Amino acid sequence: MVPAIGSLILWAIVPTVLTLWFSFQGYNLLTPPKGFVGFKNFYFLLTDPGLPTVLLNTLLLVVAPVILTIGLGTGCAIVYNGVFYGRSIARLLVITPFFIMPTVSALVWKNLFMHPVYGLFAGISRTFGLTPIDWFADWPLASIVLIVTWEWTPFATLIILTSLQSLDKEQVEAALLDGARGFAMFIYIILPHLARALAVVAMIETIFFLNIYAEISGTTVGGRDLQQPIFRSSFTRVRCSGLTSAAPRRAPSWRSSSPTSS
Amino acid sequence: MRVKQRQMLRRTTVGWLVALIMFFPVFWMALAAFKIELEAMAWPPLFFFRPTLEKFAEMQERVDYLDHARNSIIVAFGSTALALLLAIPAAYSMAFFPTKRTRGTLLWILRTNSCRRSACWFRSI
Repeated sequence: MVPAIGSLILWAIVPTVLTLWFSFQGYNLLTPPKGFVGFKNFYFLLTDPGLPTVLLNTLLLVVAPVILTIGLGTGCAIVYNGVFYGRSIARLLVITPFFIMPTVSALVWKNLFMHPVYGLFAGISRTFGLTPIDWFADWPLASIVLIVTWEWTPFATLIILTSLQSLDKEQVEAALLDGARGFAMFIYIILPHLARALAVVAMIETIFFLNIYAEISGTTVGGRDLQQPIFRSSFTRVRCSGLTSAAPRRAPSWRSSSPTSS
Repeated sequence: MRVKQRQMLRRTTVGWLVALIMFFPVFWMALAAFKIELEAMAWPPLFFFRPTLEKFAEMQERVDYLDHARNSIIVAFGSTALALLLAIPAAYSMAFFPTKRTRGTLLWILRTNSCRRSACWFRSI
């Protein structure tokens, strides 16, 4: 037992310790390493004027899709729990967004759907006589939340669906006998049963959303000759701290015409 | 019988509507792969057109797609195999021979995973 768990722990512990170690080193990708610099990296990080915006954006970027995917996922799971014609194929179709590479889906959404001139959404707006929305210029954070939600709803759907299918039939019958229908059934019987699955989904999604990179770089930074705060900050002041996981996520602010830059 | 059928019909409609909405971007992307640029940007959107493999050839020519794809496949399968090699024995021992510290270890691994990706990127430099 010890060898297996031991190697697993080693695999997990070494990177973490190294990350912490690096956070106290002065690394700059252009000049030779400076060695131990104490808390300078943390000082830079915490006194960065863009930090509150970054933190807020990260918070929004993580929380909003979690709530949306769980809400939509629960709805989808309930739909796909009931039997109907072609259910297995329909379920497969619903799951497909999760298999698309984040970079690819970001580019597809950006250029095929959200492009203010050639995108489908723009075309639809024009048909109704409205001015097309320039998604990534006016509502960058919302756009990315939309893309991420689209990608991850299938994941939530799957997990919640499996949990739904393990719902005790006898409990449901008893509730029906007591006169519970629809909404009451959902609140008192289904939701408590789903609590664990929802917690799992929320936890896993939070972990992954903190690591979102492809969607952001593929839409607002890559392909446009705007400043790239992430790479810029890494080539001028690499802050290899554990807190740096917040720094790369300089997601565009709620309303801005360019990614927030310091 | 009537209610059952109506319920079935309602469920089928809703179920397929949701499926098609979720799947439409993937479908559109697949369709656009076989169009030329002009057709891909056309409005009203083209569902019927002459499919071409021109873009695939161009992709291969420009960035040597197959080489990159092969790398991706090797990485994906290789890392999965390696991870399983490590994780399955560990999971087995944790499941059938749990100790006092098992749960704590698991939670710790899960927690420290959250800064994984960006930290890995920086570390790889």
